[in-house]
Amino acid sequence: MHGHNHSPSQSFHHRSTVAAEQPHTHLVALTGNPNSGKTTLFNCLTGSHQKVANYGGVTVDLREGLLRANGELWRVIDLPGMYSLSAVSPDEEIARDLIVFGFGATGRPDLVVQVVDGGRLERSLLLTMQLIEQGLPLVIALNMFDEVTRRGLLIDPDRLTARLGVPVVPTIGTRGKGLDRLTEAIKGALDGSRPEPLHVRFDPQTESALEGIEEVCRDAGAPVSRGVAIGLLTREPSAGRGLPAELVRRVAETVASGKPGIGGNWTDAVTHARYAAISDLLAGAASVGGGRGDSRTARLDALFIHRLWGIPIFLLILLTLFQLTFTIGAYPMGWIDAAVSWVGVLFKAVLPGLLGEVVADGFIAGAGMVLIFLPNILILMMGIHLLEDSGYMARAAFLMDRVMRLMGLHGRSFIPMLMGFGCNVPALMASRTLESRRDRILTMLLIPFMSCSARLPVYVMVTAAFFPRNGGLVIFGLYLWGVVVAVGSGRLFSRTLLKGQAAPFMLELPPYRWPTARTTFTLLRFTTKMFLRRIGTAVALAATVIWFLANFPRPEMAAGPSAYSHHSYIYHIGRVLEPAMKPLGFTLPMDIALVSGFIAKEVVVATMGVLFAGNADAGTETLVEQLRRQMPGTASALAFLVFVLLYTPCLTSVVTLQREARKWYWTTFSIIYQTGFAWVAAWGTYRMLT
Amino acid sequence: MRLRLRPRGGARGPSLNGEHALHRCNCRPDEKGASLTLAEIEPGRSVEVCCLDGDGPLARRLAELGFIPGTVVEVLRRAPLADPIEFQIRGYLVSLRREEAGRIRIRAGLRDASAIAQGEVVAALAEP
Repeated sequence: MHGHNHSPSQSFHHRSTVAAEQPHTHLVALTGNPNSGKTTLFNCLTGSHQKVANYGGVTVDLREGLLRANGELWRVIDLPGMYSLSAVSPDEEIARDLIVFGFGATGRPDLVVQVVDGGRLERSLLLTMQLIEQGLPLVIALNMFDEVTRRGLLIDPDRLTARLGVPVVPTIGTRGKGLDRLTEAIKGALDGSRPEPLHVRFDPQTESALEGIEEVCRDAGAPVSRGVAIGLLTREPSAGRGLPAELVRRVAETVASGKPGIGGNWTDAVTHARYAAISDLLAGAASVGGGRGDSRTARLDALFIHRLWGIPIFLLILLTLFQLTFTIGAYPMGWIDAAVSWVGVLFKAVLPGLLGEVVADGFIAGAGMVLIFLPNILILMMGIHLLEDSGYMARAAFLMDRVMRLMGLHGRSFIPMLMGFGCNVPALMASRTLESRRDRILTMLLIPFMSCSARLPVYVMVTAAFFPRNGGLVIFGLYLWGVVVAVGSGRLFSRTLLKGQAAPFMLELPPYRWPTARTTFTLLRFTTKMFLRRIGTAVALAATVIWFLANFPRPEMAAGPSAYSHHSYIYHIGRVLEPAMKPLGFTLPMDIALVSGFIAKEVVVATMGVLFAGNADAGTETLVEQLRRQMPGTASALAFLVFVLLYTPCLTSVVTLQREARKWYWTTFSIIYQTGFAWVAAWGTYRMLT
Repeated sequence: MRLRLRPRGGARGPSLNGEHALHRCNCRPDEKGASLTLAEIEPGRSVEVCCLDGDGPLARRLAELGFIPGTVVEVLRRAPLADPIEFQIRGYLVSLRREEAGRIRIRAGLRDASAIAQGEVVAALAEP
């Protein structure tokens, strides 16, 4: 099946086999600047449901879908955004490699659709120039055309089409408008009736240098395109790929003998000539520069990134979000809780003996306990999504850049770290948008301290039992503490393990936009599905295993006051852990829950559900009531929360870290550091409160 | 206002580490022999880019984003903690840290934001 994001196994590499089964279809690549709406358009064209948001760098991998148009089947690939073909970060490299070199068996695309944000037309055309030089058929989707109209910008697509020699089709991705004309234009360009595209004339020195390079390469029997020649001239590192080393060296000599005419170097000369060509192109066809920009954005920015109010507003928004998660979520939580206990009682009554116990006390008590927290997770994820889709998150990155720098990090690391509040796994993958390896490793070591939504059930459960009045505040405090630990650890690492400067910071602030109902709905559906899938697989399995470990071997006499007897396996496992965890004020079931939590944080809740549900006098008590009775007290409850916040998030995150960092020592270090820190912090919390 | 000293050296060939040294350009030093960069401009003002320092990947990217000689940039605001700085350029908003903004030299002669909005052609202030 196509289309769902997040899961690492669905990356392009794994799906290239699917692609290979349909060799006769055209390959169409969607490219363009970050945040120009490529994925929104991709979702419309192929019926996929990839994650979108109103900031650059959401897509970091290749995604593929199928489009049926006029009886033809095309493979459409959605690429990570890029400003230029001279890539500076791994996600840009992926996009560049597909267009310039082709990817393994996939080869180069048959056609490129450049998605252009109409509001940033001038800058986007720089990439257009580079794409034209690549010699591939090109179609431009002039996206967000509704904003162009609203902002009073004048763009004449027909005149642009005539001047560029490339079809320019207005589209509105969020409303699915202009798609028919776009597919027609793609079809027309694929069928071969293409005018000669625009050819940028450089200054005489640059032109002669380019001709020199082309001549040297032709003489060596390896003729190169204009695009490659320009890459060689401007010393773009990837330009010499596939050429003999000897030839590259000779080209470098030719380049060194020339002298740029504009500015101090060839890059300046080339960029200058391109921008000059763009302003000629736009004269009389579009408003250049965009005037005063977007008045709504200007008004909102005056408030949201105000020098004094900006940060208080940011904190207030987050606190409100957590409070809502806690209070609104409490209503459906109560209903689901009651339903789950009722179903458990029912199964126990219907199913005979051991089977009834496994189902009721293992599977239902465990998986059902986790299910209770679905509303909380949905509220939190929706809140984060609204902030992302409106464009506020990019502002948060702007506000928090200084804090990022305290950690020795790049301002753009903020976005992967923020994504960590949803789920650490895509967040780890999003660190690809960072330019330097040092920044990526550092970001990946810190992301696990961003409290993901899977940890939320544990917080809600424990705070409901011990801090019923100010649960929102406690949860907000935990999130904040996670950030503080990340800042401290970042400072530490950037001064010891990962010395060096953060790469330069450039952050585009997109216009504020209304989140669309469609993306919100897709997100909620997707979150629910992933959550249920986890409950149905990992959580259910873990809960059942825990139940067996807690109930076998069975003692000859009736069970004591707790769910597990002193004969059970779990008691023996717990005894091994006990000395290590005793200083934190944890009891045996808490230890077991934490160990099982290495699989995933939802499992912590499931395990507690199982270990407490089997309790002889539990009866119809809810889990919250049982917790209040069975956990030692406020101090150890808070220490428990701190531990859950800080230790290794889940197995999948470990695997993802390994895949992205490709070094086992970083993965090992990450696990040891997090768990060690969790222990120390929990111990500190416990000692302070007792 | 913190002023940067203009590094000396003028035009040189490519150095060993692949970075070009500074090239000479026509950004005019003030009477103290310093030239201004974007990092030093107060919010609310518009200025014209003169040239970029260096030619590594950063300078290339800045140029690609549109910071090329002659481009008008409006300084919108600084973040609450003084860094980064938000600019409007070529119809979009971008923020840079002081450090990066400090690599973008500007033409002497500041221009007023309102003048740009009215589409006036503003002559650079005459040098002393």
